[in-house]
Formats: sequence, structure tokens, C-alpha cells
Amino acid sequence: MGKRRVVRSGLMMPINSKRFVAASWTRNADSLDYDLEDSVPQAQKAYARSIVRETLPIAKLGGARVSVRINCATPEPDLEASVWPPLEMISHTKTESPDQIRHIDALITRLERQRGVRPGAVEINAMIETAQGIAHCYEIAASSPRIRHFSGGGGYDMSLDLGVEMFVGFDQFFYGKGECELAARALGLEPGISVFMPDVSGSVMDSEATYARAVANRKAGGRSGGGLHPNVVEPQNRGLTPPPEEVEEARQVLAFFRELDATGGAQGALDGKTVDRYEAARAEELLEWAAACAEKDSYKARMREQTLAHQKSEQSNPQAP
Amino acid sequence: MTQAVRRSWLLIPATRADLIERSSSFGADVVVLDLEDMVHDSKKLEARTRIKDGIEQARRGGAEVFVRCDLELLYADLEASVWRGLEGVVLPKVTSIAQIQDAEETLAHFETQRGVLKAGLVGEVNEADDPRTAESALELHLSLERAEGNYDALELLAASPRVRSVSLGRADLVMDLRPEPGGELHLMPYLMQRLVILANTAGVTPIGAWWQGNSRGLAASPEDTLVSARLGRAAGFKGALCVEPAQVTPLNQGFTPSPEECRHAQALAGAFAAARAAGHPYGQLDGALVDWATAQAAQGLLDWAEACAARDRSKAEAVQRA
Repeated sequence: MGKRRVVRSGLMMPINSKRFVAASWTRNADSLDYDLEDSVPQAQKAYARSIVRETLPIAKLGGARVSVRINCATPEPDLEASVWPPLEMISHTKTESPDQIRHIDALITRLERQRGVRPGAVEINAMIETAQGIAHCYEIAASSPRIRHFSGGGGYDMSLDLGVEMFVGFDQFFYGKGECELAARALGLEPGISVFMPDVSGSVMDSEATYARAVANRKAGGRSGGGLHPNVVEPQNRGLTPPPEEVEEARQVLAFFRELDATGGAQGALDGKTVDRYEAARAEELLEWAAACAEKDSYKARMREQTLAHQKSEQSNPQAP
Repeated sequence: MTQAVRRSWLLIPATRADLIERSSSFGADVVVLDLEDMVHDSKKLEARTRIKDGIEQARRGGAEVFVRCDLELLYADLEASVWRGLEGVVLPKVTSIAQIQDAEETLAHFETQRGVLKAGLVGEVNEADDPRTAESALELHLSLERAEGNYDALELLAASPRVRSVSLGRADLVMDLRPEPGGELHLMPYLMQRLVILANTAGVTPIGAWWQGNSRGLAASPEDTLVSARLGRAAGFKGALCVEPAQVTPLNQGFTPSPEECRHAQALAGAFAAARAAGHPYGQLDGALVDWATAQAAQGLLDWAEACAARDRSKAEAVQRA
């Protein structure tokens, strides 16, 4: 079983934006998602494909997970352009049939082999953004071992597909999100838990609101986030990382349960709260998550340091081109 | 067949001799003696020995008695449980037809060996040599606490004629579903609505309350339990499981139509009957249209209220006799 994935924050940007891409590794995002799809105008898509290979390593300068979002209409040229080391994930938009995923799985497998990427290293993010996608979500989620996390049924494209306004103050998507989450859980895939919080502003850059949402998600068991604007990176990093008080509390719960279990008790109370095997399991997961977050933070810091040191030495001793 | 009135299903760990002894005073429609999650592994042997007498004690209050068995320890748990007086078995965390078939076969084995038929309410008598029918065989209640079980619900509910009711059990704990800022438990509204639809499709009674984020694993304060019971009834559930004796009365209350509801239903039924008697297709009450569907629903509510009253009377009589 591999190391636990930590993607508290993500930054998606059009890959052909030199300015965004050049600065992307400095944002402290857990994941950088370079886009070939909706944020890249049609006229620029060919150019965008031509720069993926050289762009991917930029994400690693800051220790981020690197992914590319491809067009569901042109998977072949998009994948040809994208499956290079150090690619870690492909996001397939508007997934509506398991055949689409099987098709790109086969393409990725060939390209991994040809380009020297470890077999199976490239994960597939099968995005469910349409009614059709929801209707077939179980078959889609089951269609490839590259799918390890699965969620969907809400968001901008969903609202477009249904012809509805977003940010209306009630949870319009809870049925579709429920369908996708049940499918994920039934197949043993990581669900993407995001709570409903009334949001009528639709702002993509409100730090306060982002932090509050991240905290609510974390408390409900959510572990990942993402976004479009640098302002939302730190609030999600902070909001989705357990604070020290919670880590300490989890340790106490575990210790209490072990004692209880050793003396033949199935259920007890600690500080007025029930402790049983389920509470112990939650505490264990929290400790594991906290450790994974710390490891990711220290990895990112090391990579940034390394990059800055390297850039500094490049400046004082410029290498021949 | 009249619908069984099972508004409150109180889970009592089989090791809690004190609670089992007092169970006739709690007023539960159903007592579920637990051999699963609420009993530590080291206490299972002891727990099993308490079931036979526990069934008798729990019935003294007029309750129907179920036992919740561990799917991995099914044979031993059923061996300890299949006795005269038992109504059925709760199967937790069900995910496959094979598990239900295993339960069916093992139940049939002990029913035959011991001449056990479903108990019915206190005062009813099944003769040991009455032919065992689907009606008189011990029931199965499926607790769908895992995602796989929920996904395959329709298949599972159809897997045996013994399956008469279904719930989400303690899915919030098993699936780790936690409170959301809006007050609901994550994913539960979806699972609950889905279950009501599938239960009705399969012709099986949906059991559950609309538990909110202020509950945990079927436990909640009496006030919160009443709220969740009312919401559950509004959503189509017919009763709910709980884990504290103090929750029994609020569950009974929440799943019983109130006197005002009954008065209103009476008025609706009357308005429609009068309209039809006068040759009109629709009736009227306080400016609202009363059609056939409304009148049917009103009558359904009145029938249910009557069944609840009969159940309460029979429990009161049982307590008096004990």
C-alpha cells in the first residue's frame, strides 16, 4: 500500500500562461494542475500541447503533485503531449462512459512504457460533470485501476449541463454527489468529501470563506481541496491540516480505547464523549493524516529550498546553454 | 396482513442483565438483544448464555424480540438465539446475498430442530406442528451499514422472503459519516431517501429516523430523538432503532400520529365521503381540495393511528399481566 496522498490545496491554470506557470511552484500548493481544457482557447491548444513536457518539472520545484487536465474530445493528442516524467495524474473532464476511461487507460499504459514512466504511476481523475456522467458513475468508477479517488456531480460544468444558477443558498447537487459518493465507497475508492455550505457569492478568491469551508470539510472527514486562485491555497493547507489540539485529543482517545479494550469494554466515555472502536478508528486516521500532512509540508519546504539554492548558484555561476 | 407496529427498536447488549431485566418497563415495541458491536469479543460466550431467558424477560413488557447477530459468528449466535419467543434476527453490515442465504439456512436448521416458529405478540400461540410458512418463519431485518450493501440494496432485499424490514443501522459509524455545518450527517439524507424508495420497491418496511448531526450511532437526547423520529416518519420510515431506554418514548411518540393529525385526517376523510355521497368528484376542507388520493392518505393515517393504539393497549395489558 503506497504512501498516503496529500492534496489539501491545488492550483489549476492554463498551461499557456507563462506568468502563472513560472510562479506556480512558489505558491505552496500541494498539487499543480496544468490545464489543456476550458481555460485554453481553441487557437492556443496546439501550442499548449507543445509545452507540456517542459512544464511538468516546474511543479516539482516546489514539491507539488503534478497533473494535466485534458480535453475529453481530443484525448489522443493531449495524452501524447502529456504523458512524460514526472506526470502523476490526468484529469479527464465530462466523463460520460466507462469506454472513455478504458480508452485513455490503454493510451497512458503505452505512453508510460515508451517514455519511461513507472507502470501505473499515472492516476486518472475521472471527472463527473454532467447528468450522463452521474447516470453511469458506478461503471465509470469501476472502469480502471488508475482511478483511486472518485467524486463528482457538482460544480460549474454540472450547473451548465443542468441549466441552473449556482450559489443559490441550498444544496442543488446533493443527489448527484450522493450517487457518485456511494459508487466510490462501494468500489473501495477514496470519496471526495465536501460539505454543503450556503454560498451566494460564488467568489473563487475569498480566503476567509475558503478557510471556513476547509475546516468544515476536515471535520466532516474531507481531506482534499483545490482551486483557481493563489488566495485559496494557504487557507486550504491550514484548514485541512489537523491542529495540534486535535492531534493530542486523538492520542488520548486511542490510549483510552486501548485500556478499555484490554479490560473487556466495548464502549466508554472520555470527557463526556463516547469512545468505542469507531471513535478509535477516527482517532487513528487523524494521527495518520496529521503525520502525512507534516511529511508533505517538510517535503515541499525541502524542495523549495533546494530550488532556490540551485537558482542562486545558477546566478553566480551561470552554466553554458 | 396488518402492518406490524414497530416504532421503537431498543438495542440492549446481551451482557447487560440489568437492562434486560428492566426491559419490560421501557415500553419498546421491539427489544433487540445485541450479540454484535456492543458486546466485547471476550464477553460473547457469556452474552450468548443470557439470550434465552432474556427473550422471555423482554416479552413481558409486550415487546417483540429480535437478536442482532454477528455475521462472522452467525452459527454460534443463532444457536444461542433461536428459541420460542423470538420474532426475528437483525443482520448488521450486510453486503451479500450469500450472507442472507447463510442466515436463512442456519435459521431453518434451528427452527426445525427446536420446533420454533415466530412468536407473534404476547398472547398469540403458534403450535409447534403448525406448518411453517413465510408468515410464521423467523424474520430477517437487514441493517445496510456499508456502501456495498446500500448499492446492492434491491438485490439484497429480494434475497429472502424472511426479509421484512431494513434500516441503515449505525451506518454513520461504520461508513464514518460526520456532521455537516447545515446540521445533517454527511451523505445520510441521500442514503435515507434512497433506502425509503428501495424498501418500498421491494415491499419491505423502511426503519430509521432522520438522524441529525447531533446524534451518533443511533444515540441522541430524548428531544433530538423526537425531532428525528418526526422527520423520519415524514420521510416514510415506520420506526427506528435506538440505544438508550430514554429514547423509546420519543420514538413511539414521533412515529405515532398526534391527536391533531388524527382530527385533521378524520375531517379530510369526512369531507371526501360527504362529497362523494352528494355525487361530487372532490371534497373541500378549509379551502383546500380533497381528492381521492388525499382521502386515501387520511384513511391510511387513521388506520395507522388505530394500529398504534392497539399496540399500546396490548403492551399495557402485557405489563399488567407480568
